[in-house]
Amino acid sequence: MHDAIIINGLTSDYQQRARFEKKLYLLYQYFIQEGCRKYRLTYEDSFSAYSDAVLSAIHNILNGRFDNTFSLKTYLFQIFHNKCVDIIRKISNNKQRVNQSAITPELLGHLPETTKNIIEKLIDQERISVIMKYLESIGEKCKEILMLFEDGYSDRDIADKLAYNNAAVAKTTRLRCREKIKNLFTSHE
Amino acid sequence: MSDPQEYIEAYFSKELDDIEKAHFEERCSNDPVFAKEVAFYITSREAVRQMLLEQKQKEWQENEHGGKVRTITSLKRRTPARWLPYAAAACIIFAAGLFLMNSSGTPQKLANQYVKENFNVLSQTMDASEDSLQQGIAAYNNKDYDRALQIFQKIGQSDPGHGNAKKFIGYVYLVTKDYDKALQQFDELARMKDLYKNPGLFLKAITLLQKNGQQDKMQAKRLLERIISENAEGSKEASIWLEKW
Repeated sequence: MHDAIIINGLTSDYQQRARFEKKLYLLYQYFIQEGCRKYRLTYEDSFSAYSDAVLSAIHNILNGRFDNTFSLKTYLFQIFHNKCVDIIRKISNNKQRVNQSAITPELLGHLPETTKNIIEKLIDQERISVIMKYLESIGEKCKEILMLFEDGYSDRDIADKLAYNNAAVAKTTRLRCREKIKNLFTSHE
Repeated sequence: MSDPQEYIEAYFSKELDDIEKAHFEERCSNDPVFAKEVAFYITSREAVRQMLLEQKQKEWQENEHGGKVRTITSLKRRTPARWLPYAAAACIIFAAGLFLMNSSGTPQKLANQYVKENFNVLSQTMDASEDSLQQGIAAYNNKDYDRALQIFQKIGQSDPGHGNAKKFIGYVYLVTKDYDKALQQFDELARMKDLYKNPGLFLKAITLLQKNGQQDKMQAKRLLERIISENAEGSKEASIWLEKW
């Protein structure tokens, strides 16, 4: 399938996008075997790296960060390779704790190094898991709005899909949902 | 923008101008309460992302009838071949040989192995256009060490406290076997006080083991002992390597 068709499908409406996400996933699914063979990962780890890579690639395409310099296959494989290396490091760090890089939240990459070092100390998987638990208790609507935003949808798209009056209302609702989790999290800490 | 979460979101959505961005980053360093707000923002976004990924994995693996798509491995139903017992025996002999070889490995061999496993390819994100460090890593991974060095040095010049830039400059010198320069970088890295994890001493020891002169070996040994006594980065490896001394 031609790259342009996939990219066009991914940037179309909600239904089309879901279809083409799955098409993209299935098209290069054999990378999972590559991950097992080339990087000696378990099937589960390789699957995890691949699906994570597909999600990152989709978000980069939607945000206009995929510029067609490479083919979609090369681009996806590069991301997949990085995710595999991250997993290998994570496994190695658990054994040796030498190099600090494990899988880290992608948003940390937006910060300059000095700031990143400060913030990174305050983030760990345990806190992430606690918040995942709280996400289940803030109501379906709140969870959905946060998931849509994380999936690359703008406040305007969210307003259309969830029938809010406008983007500003969707944004206010979304921020309130985050505030709900923050309150639960603060009382936990 | 009175809500701190809205302000933080504006930073990550790249809606702030350069002055506002600099102010934001300064606050992360000087205001612990604000740093916690930023950490919460990133943690909560990551939690949602992990949940989203779990949902997508289910959707992508489902076939039209709601069942799970069969994977390539599950499609293959292998029957044991006649040669399998022989191959298994050969594997056992090979594994035993490897074990014996490893158990007699010198610290130099273990250091070589460590360099091969950890420094050939560095982890990289794909948003390279926005982060020159990532461009440097990309050049490093493509074995374009001259370009990688240029990029890392430029980052180091503009931010002398950039631990990763110093570490990666050291990596470039190490893999190109310019050991004295690598040692200088790792020495400077080891002196940096405000890093969350500082592998400077351990990297110095690795470089000395690679350099492998008589004095170097003794110095590496002392460093490994110090790493263990200070429980510094690499202490577990250091104790394994010292056992082989």
